[in-house]
Amino acid sequence: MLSRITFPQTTGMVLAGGRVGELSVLTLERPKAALPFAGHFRIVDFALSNMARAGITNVGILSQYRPSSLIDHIGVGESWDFVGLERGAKILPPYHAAEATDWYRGNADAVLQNLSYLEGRDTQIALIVSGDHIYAMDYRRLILEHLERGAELTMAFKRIPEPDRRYGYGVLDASGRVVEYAEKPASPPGDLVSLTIYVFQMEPLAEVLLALREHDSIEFGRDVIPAMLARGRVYGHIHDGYWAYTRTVDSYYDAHRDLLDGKIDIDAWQVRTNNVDNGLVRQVPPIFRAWTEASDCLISEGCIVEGAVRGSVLGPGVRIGRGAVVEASILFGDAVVEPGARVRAAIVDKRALIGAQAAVGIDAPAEGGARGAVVSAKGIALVGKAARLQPGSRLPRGGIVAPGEER
Amino acid sequence: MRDAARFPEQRFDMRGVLALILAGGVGSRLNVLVKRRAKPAVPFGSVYRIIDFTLSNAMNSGIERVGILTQYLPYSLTRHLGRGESWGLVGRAREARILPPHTGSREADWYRGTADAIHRNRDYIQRHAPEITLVLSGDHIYRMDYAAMIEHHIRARAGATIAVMRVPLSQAHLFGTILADGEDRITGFEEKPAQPTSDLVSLGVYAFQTDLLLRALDEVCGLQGGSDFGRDLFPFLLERERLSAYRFHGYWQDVGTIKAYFDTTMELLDPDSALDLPRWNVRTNLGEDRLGDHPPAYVASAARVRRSILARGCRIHGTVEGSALSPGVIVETGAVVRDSILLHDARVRAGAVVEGTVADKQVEIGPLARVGDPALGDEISRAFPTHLDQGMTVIGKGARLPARCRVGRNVSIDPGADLGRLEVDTVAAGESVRWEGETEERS
Repeated sequence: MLSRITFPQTTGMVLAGGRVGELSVLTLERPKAALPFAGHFRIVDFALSNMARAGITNVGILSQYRPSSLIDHIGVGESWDFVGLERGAKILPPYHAAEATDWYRGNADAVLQNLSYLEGRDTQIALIVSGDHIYAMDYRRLILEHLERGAELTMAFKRIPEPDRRYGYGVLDASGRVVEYAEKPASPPGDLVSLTIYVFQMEPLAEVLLALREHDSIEFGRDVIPAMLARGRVYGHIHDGYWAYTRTVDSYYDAHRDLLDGKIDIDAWQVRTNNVDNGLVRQVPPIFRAWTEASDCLISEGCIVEGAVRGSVLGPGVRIGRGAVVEASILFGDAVVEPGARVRAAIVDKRALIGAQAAVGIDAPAEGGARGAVVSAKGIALVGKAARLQPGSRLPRGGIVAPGEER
Repeated sequence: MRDAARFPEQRFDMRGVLALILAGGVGSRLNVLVKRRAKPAVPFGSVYRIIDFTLSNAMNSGIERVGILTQYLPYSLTRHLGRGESWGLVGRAREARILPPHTGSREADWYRGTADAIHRNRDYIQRHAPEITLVLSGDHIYRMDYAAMIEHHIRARAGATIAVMRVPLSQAHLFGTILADGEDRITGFEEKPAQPTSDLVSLGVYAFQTDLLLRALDEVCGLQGGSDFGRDLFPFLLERERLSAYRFHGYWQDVGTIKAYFDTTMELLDPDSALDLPRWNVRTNLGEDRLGDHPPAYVASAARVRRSILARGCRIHGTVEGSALSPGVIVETGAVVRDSILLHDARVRAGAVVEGTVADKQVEIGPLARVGDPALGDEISRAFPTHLDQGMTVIGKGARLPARCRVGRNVSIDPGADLGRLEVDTVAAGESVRWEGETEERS
């Protein structure tokens, strides 16, 4: 049915610039969208795969913070079928304009600076989404609703059970029109949170952005949506499927539990990734030795499992030594857990090494030992990229080891 | 950047070498696995096909131009090779080219033998004008640095060099054997000799001075009507040229029978085996059949997986031991898979038990079925007594076994066979199930 409709020329924009301090050592060296997820995927794969499934063939990726991992990951966009005549995926980093060096000053400024990218593709509809979220959505249905209502902007919302100040909240009337919007309010006006999925008519978007161009910074939630609301044709679409916000260590960790519980269905969602970037082309299938115990886990290519793995997700090339026990943890690519080590409720970044007989996330945190703000209320331990824990060393619950650190 | 797993830097510039892979092998002792595909296209080691080992050796040796000679059921190979990018064979001076039989100026028909196949592609070889041409069999599981062989070939000032390996004399009759003097100069050949006098066997890996190869092929194939390297070309050259034996000491295995195929696969599970995939840098085409799109392997809470190799897209709810599973295999709750190989997207339904079985792609084993059931006896295959005699049962692509059915050992089931429609609920040891239903060439 949907495939018979001729959609207006739609260009995708993925907001992938954010670093987000709340993810601590995990995003010191990569933007959040490039964070590994579900073993051999990266978070941005979900938004890109949604684009691909909707038949959107021109996608710009807005990136500012340490974009090299994203550039490698997206490549020419072949993995999402963005290669071909009149197709393309393009990383859009900030550039030197004739007059000024313009770092992006906010997520909407990133779009403003790339209006020419949209206009060059005869864009009628700009589909602007965050690259930071885990969900599957049929964007065609969203666009169809948008067209039927004659909206200038359609934004997706989701009901959440517990209000949280981190979100933007909308209030809809009976026709679905957005009558109120509040970004990160002290007291939320309802339970509908914005998913940072916007369908814009190109002309009003350009008008609003250009009108805001003199501001010091321009954000969609703070500046653009109120300006659109003032024009009166903003509608909401309520998403009732799964959606995860991976902005904090705990939400990122919980999304992996959802993955193991089948709430995130990579197959059904047709999530695609770049198998050259994630090294899958080099990896052999995972090998389980005679003395392995594995249950309730996701094991990527290249893993060699000689110990016990329970309730965990292992990225490509992870080695679990004999007698080691890994429970309720997330290990990124090429992490090594040496024989006899124990790892519980931890996130271990790429190439980190947990020495023999070491214990991660087992001991209670030291009294008053938390340095600065608590990163994980759940007490998830974090081991940064290529960090090394000596044999026999102990990292308590909620402990953090910086990338490259040895202890 | 050089991949660490590649062979060490060579002195000889391998970019000038042309490799030709003979990929037309029928491999009939692999039974139903080769009913719809050539032997080099048979899946091996969970995600690979047999030819990946030869292609990856070429890649790891720095070879940039590869021609692949196909003939028998070439469709799956053609899809598998794609444009050759999986082995770094795409670029201005790099290529992987499928060379099917073609109509030529002379009689237009099929390749008549290994030498004939190369001879018919004389124009292709001349266009590349390599100083040295490698002729490789695409049938074997091995890791060899072809550059080291070519260095030997050059040092020996040989017209042609054959890679050889020492095997127990008792097994030499299965191969072509080679007689060599103390300086590794070849002095004679025996093709599958009844009473072998040499324990040096040919590995199907040859290096030639290209001009010599072309002249000899013209003589042997054109004038004398010969068509085979072992039987015709090398005996012809022996009288005229210096032929050298290159002694190979690494891992090399012919997986020509179901038993050898199974045993070699099981070596992948042995941490002490010389078949050490994680170090071999073998590549395959992840784009084929969307192989690369699967999520990582999932092992459920109630599952038990030991001494096994899984693959992306596998979902294991039951028990898997001593087995190799290809992408997309599903083992349901309470099912047991032991000492078996299950290829892509095979499905073992709840409570079924599968032992000592090789099941091809998309085989479905119904709930509570028993396959490879030792209780049904040990009779060897009546139809294939020479190669289905070790207990392994083999099930062809897409065959369907109904709920509660029982299948014994040494059984062969044709691709596509639907035992439910055939109203078969028990297949005794040594029996075969033939199926003439819908056929398709692809595999």
